[in-house]
Amino acid sequence: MSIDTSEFLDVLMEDSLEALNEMETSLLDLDHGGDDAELINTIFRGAHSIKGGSGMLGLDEIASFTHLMETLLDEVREGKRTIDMLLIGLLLECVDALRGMFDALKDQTENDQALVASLVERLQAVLENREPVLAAAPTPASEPEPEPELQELQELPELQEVIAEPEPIPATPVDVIESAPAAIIDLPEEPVHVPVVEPVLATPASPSGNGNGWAIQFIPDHDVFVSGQDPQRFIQQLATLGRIQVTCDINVMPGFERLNPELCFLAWDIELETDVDQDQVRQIFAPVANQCELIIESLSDYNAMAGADADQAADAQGQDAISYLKEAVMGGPVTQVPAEAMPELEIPEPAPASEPVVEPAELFQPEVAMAEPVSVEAEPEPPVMPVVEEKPVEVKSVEPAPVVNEQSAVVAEKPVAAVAAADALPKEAESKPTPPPAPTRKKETKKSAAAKRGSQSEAGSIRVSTQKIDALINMAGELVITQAMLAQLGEKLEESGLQDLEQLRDGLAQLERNSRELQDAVMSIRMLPISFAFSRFPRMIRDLNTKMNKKVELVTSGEQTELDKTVMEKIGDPLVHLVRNGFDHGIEMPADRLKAGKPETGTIELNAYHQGGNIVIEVVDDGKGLDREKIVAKARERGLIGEDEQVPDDQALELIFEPGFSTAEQVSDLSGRGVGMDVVRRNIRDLGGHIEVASEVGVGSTFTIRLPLTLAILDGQLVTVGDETFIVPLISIVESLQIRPELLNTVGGRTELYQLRDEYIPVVKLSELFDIKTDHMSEYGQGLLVVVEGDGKKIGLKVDDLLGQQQAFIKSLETNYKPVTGISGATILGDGTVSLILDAGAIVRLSGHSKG
Amino acid sequence: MTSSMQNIEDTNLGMGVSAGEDQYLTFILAQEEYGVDILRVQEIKGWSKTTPIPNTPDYIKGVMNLRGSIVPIIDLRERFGLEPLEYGPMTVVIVLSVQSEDRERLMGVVVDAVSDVYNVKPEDLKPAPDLGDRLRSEFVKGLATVDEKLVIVVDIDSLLNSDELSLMNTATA
Repeated sequence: MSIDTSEFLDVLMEDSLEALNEMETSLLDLDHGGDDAELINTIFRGAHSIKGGSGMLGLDEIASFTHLMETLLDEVREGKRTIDMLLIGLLLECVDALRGMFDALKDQTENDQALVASLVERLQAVLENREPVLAAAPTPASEPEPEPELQELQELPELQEVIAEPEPIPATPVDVIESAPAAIIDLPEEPVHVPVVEPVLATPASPSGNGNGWAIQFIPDHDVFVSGQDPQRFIQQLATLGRIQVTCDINVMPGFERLNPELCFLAWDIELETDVDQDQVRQIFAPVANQCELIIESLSDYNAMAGADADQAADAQGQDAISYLKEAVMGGPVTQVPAEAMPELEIPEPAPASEPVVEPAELFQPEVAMAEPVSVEAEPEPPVMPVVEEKPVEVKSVEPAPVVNEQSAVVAEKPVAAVAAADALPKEAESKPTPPPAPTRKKETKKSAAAKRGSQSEAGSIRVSTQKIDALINMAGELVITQAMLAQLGEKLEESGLQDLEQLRDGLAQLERNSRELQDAVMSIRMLPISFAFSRFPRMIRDLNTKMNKKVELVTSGEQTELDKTVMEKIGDPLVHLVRNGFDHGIEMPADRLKAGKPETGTIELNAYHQGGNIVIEVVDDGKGLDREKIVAKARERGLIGEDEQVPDDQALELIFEPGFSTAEQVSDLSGRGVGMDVVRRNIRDLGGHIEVASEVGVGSTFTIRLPLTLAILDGQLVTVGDETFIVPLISIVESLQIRPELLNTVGGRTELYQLRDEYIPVVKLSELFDIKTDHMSEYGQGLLVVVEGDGKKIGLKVDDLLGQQQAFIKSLETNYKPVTGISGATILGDGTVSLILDAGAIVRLSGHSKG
Repeated sequence: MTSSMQNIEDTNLGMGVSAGEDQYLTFILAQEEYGVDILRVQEIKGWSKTTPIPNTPDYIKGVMNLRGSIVPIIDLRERFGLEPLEYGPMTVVIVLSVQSEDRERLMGVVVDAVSDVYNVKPEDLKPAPDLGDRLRSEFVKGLATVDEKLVIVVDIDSLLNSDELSLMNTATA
């Protein structure tokens, strides 16, 4: 039996689309130079959760696609890759492609395979070109790179100690430098220390004479571990005797594939500044006397001998370390070397002295990456950057084998030290202190990201299915109805003169308040901040900017203004249209803007605010504005107005909302096809709102949309016609008046006009329109006229009587029936009967007066 | 979703009653007995005043408030072209769930009286012959004989999505 995954699929789809939106927003923020770490984390999380979810449901295509994104993002997150415009662009395309995949999934259609394939290719190209990309990158990215590098190291717990250690180091070399300037030249190789040994350096060293001490070569046998000896212990012991510099020699270290973790391939060159004699030093190595090669020389002799070759020697070491690393990377995770064992591996030849001197020529050439530091390194004060840049390269090449991460990172530290060593002490002194701040900073950002995440989940929203909310809204509506019923009852009781009415009324008042509050609370569940509708625009503007070579900035305000979800869903498209229009027709090309004395970058503003139970959304552009004369001319050309018809200025602009109107001289793929503004206006009217335009040539245009906050409730006037009660939305009522028969005129035998002050308005008899039997059919004298405005026209609705005003809870006729022309919905009155809500605009059209 | 739930209900009912039988609620319309799939019956209630919908045929009596839902009410007598009856306290409305395209609609039908519930095996449901103008045969799912009485089993989805009730056909003035 197969498990039905469709339910999960829906959830995944919803989650994923949300995640995609979040990713897109974050990418755009990055684009605008937002806070990198947190944003990248957000994007990464999005990709990660989509990957997880889709993988679980067997959506392999999506999973593998997001996996690539995730890998890429992970590298960015860990600082191994800087995020730039190109990358953001690519990721945005990936987000779009994912949306496409989910859409295809939802509609059960074929996904655009070619697009996905090409993106996969590009992602892979970026991922695989890691080295060239980064090798090329360091110059511009030199600043951010070293830092992330260290952050990355910091993340490996094993290494924390290693990296934290450098702090004490400066003290030592600096001391040395200060006390023995002459020694500087001699010391270059000294800092080539094994990280693990570094703690030793922290031990306070007894001040001793400069030349006094011993140069020790400690080369344990390969099988030294077998006897249970730990070479590190001897070095630590040595450190108690005085100031110590330890260099690890890994020349004999085999490649990873040949590496036997139980054998020791490391050797150490130790310089010990101390007053103790040679025997004491030998004493320390006594336990391994038979298992090692131990050469102890006087430090001053050693320096004299080694000094000349020191530079190259150090190089060679670094070189070796790197080639070793290369090998290690190639070998991948085959051998699992315990991290602690690493430092102790390898037997050193007195590397500085012999090998390097012989080999440098051969070594330098193949290792292009090394060439720079090497050449530079002859100078006493080599530039800092090349060396520092070296690190990322190395670490990155190690990265792909995550299993060896720990030890490889340890290893990675070595070349760093080795290379640094090549640059002589002063360099060491100034470059080393940098690491500590970086890890700390990283920790902080991590923490704040975590904190942010926490607060997000706290302040976050619960997704409630619309069905449930609708049920709640229904219940709340019922409550209001009950209250209305009780209120009626109360009035009846009052008339019959019953006692304790006061109490009943108090109770009812309370019930009313409670039920209203409940209703408000429940309604608010449906309310969403308009940022949901605004969120698509930054991306749109970004894409349009690229496409049209314009410079437009989007400014939004009032994103937190709430409105009903249904309204939100329906206002999206009109808004897109307005913004596109503003972009396309409004904002001029940058050159034209400059010519007109405006800033090069145009601005499109989206503002939202509440105003008297409505939400007002403004789309403002500072473009060239609407040219009234052009509009009028165009309208004439299109036959929207008569040849000689004069149009007042304020009405001229309204012409753009007429069907088939377009002033764009050139039709672009964005707008100008003449199917725009009329649809916008119709959509907005369908929502019970209206749109206005104001514009000044050369300054810009403002479109103001006014919408009801919700489609669920409206304030209505109860009117009766015959036995039927209807509700007229208060928003469409202009005024209500008693009909004075002398002001009624008949035109063309049938159409009746009522003289309302200085204008004539057509009269619509609801009884006729809706075919309702009424006693007042022809007796106007007894009727009332409700003047309503719909579709920009006024008409008078002839009704029999006006009842009270009531907040009507809109019920859809469509749910169980279907749309009815002239009726926008129904509501339930206090007595439980259904009353229909009139749609003023539709009635205007229905009555055939819409053309005036 | 809904259909799968109904399948489950079907199975349960089938086991509870007797395997392979469908249950039909029957009602009387001008001395004839009609049946509807009992699983489509939401509730049976007495007649109460409806609110007429403007510009609709006479057989659409209007809409009624069914616990917050606006439900259209159809007079089956008038729909079938029978002589309308005066509504009284005994007039019954059967609220049915109708599958209309991709959604469900609740609709009430006014009938003379509710009769009985019968179990009918699918194989006992005989296709209806051409019934002439009055009752289009597409509205009839089949004819069943129960206790020597003829029961006309109505296809409510086809009946209550026809003509003016069709989602496609919007009322015009």
